Amino acid sequence: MEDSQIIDLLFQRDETGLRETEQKYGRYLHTVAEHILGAREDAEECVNDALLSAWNCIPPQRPMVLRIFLARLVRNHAINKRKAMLRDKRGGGEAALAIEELEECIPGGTDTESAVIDEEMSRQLSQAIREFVSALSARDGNIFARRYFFSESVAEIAERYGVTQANVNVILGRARKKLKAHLTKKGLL
Amino acid sequence: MKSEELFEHMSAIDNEVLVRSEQDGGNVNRGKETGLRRRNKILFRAAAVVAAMFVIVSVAWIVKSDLFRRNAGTENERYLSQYLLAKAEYPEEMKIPSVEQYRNADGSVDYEQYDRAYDDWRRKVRQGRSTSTSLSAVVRNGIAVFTEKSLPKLFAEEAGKNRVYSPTNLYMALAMLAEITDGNTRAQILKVLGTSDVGELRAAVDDAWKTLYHDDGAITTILASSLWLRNDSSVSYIKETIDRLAANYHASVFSGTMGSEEYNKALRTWLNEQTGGLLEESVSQQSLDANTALAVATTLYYSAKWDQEFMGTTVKDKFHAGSGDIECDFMKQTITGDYYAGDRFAAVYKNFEYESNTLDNMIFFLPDEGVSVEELLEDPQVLAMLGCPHEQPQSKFITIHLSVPKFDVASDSNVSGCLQQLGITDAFTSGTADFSSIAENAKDLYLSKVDHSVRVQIDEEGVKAAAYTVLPLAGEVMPPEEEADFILDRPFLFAIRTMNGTPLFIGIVENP
Repeated sequence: MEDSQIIDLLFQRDETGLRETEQKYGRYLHTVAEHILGAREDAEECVNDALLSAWNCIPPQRPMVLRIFLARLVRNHAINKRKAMLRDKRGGGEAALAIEELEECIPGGTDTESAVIDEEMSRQLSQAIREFVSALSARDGNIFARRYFFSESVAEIAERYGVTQANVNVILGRARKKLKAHLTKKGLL
Repeated sequence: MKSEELFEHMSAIDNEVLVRSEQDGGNVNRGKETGLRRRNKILFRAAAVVAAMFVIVSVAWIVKSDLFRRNAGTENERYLSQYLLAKAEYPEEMKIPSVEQYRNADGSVDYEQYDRAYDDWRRKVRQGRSTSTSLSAVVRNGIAVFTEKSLPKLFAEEAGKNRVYSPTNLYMALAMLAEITDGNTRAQILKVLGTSDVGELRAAVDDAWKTLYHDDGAITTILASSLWLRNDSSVSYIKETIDRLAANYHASVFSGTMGSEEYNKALRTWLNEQTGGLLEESVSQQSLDANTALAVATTLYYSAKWDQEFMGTTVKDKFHAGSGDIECDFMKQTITGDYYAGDRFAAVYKNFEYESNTLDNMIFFLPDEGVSVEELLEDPQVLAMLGCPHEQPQSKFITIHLSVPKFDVASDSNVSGCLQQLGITDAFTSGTADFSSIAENAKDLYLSKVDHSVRVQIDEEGVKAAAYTVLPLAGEVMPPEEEADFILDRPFLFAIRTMNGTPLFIGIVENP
């Protein structure tokens, strides 16, 4: 079924829309969640949560690209889930490594005093990241998004784009350095 | 800030980047290009698709040899401009900046300036498009109605050969024909175009023209039309209609000696110019004879780049044509995308570059084993994917291993017979035909022929390799779970569509 038809069903509060969403994107969403969590059952739970969120926010929202809209939802659920798991001292997944890499972008590591960011800063940070990634070359932007949005492993990314893992690492390393400079320039660090 | 928070905020990454990153690896692995930026890549990429077509509608008299004398006295070589009465106005589109414009004397490139110009271009192009990205319902439905009726008829002849046509452009040509006719002649044409009101059609075509026309260097859709008149006093043309065609149909108006080599040369020059020389061979056959009262010519030239070019070695493999196996070049690529499982076919589409915010794509329909391509021409599920109001087949977003033969297909045809089958008969019948909207003394005018010529080429920039296993897809109605091969190694149907499915070109490849 076409995305527009699915969205129309959701607008009509027809549960078929939800089933169609699950059938079409269930596996895809599972993969996104599993990359962050590293555990199959937990990922399943996130997919269900994401579908429920989709049901709750469409309408009023009408996503431009349904697939990416759902990916964002499931990513958020997976991140929250991951936080809970870390409190319970479990969980791994590719996200752990991706997050570790991002520490390079933050001066003095993660234990800085401004551990909590306020709403205004959050907004600015989002804006800065959006600008930064959009300004990267298509190749670098793709690789950056696969790693830090979708939490794919370096090996998966290398395979996806047919480049060597070393190449992916170099590109990511360079991008992180640039990101740090960009965030500094914006006064966010 | 914690790195976790930074990670969480990656949610802010633009949709466009995320969608692009999913399209597949495609062109990212170009060792040589690592130092180049995104923009260069676009410029150096080979064109993926080029297509062009023209239609010539000639209106002739019943031959009355005493009425016309061929003006054979002209010896001067005349150029197009000498015949031009009114030149069509085209929108000025800002062209995509080129790296060359920013090259310094020492050969280096000022990327900062270039990037600024590029971003500026992109922003302006988007602003310009934001209000007109989809066709009006009148044209969309009209083209859908016309496609559904004409597709099986146009492709019925010449079975076993490559066939291709442009529903959108034939629609435009017929709309012009409706303008120059009247009475029942016009009513028959309007019916085929799915409307009953020529005024409504006129407004819709003007709107469609503006929506479809792109000439910004990234994607090119050039529609053009022209009107070829006589320069003697044997026909008194109605100025109001000519002005209307020039304004609403963006038609250039020419006037010359019908049947003269010079005037024919002007016609050919115009056709070649508007179609990028792609149809030179069939254009060279075109001429208007001395009995032509007027002719209408419309063209469509289309050129676009794949959003991700085909990577991997283009491999020689067998294509199972009706006449036996032939060897041809197959382009391979692994993509993530929608896989449609029809009752009698599978379909996959591949997007064109969306730098300029147009979301055109090319869709390939592979008939199941044992089903002929012709059987798909009236298949409601196929028609649904060409913008007609039917139910689309099931689809699933999966990994697809595409294998597409490189092809260059062309067809030349006189579509008069097909138009008559569709119900446009009066225009072709002398005595009955009513061309009173274009000429005062139109009693004896009738439509003598409608020539339609089309060519579509697809291409890649071949690089390196991956081999895939062939899995037959015959009989599968549910889309495959995770991955599928999609190998176009037997006759197939394709279409170049706009975002909402309106077909610009449709073709059958029997012999790539």
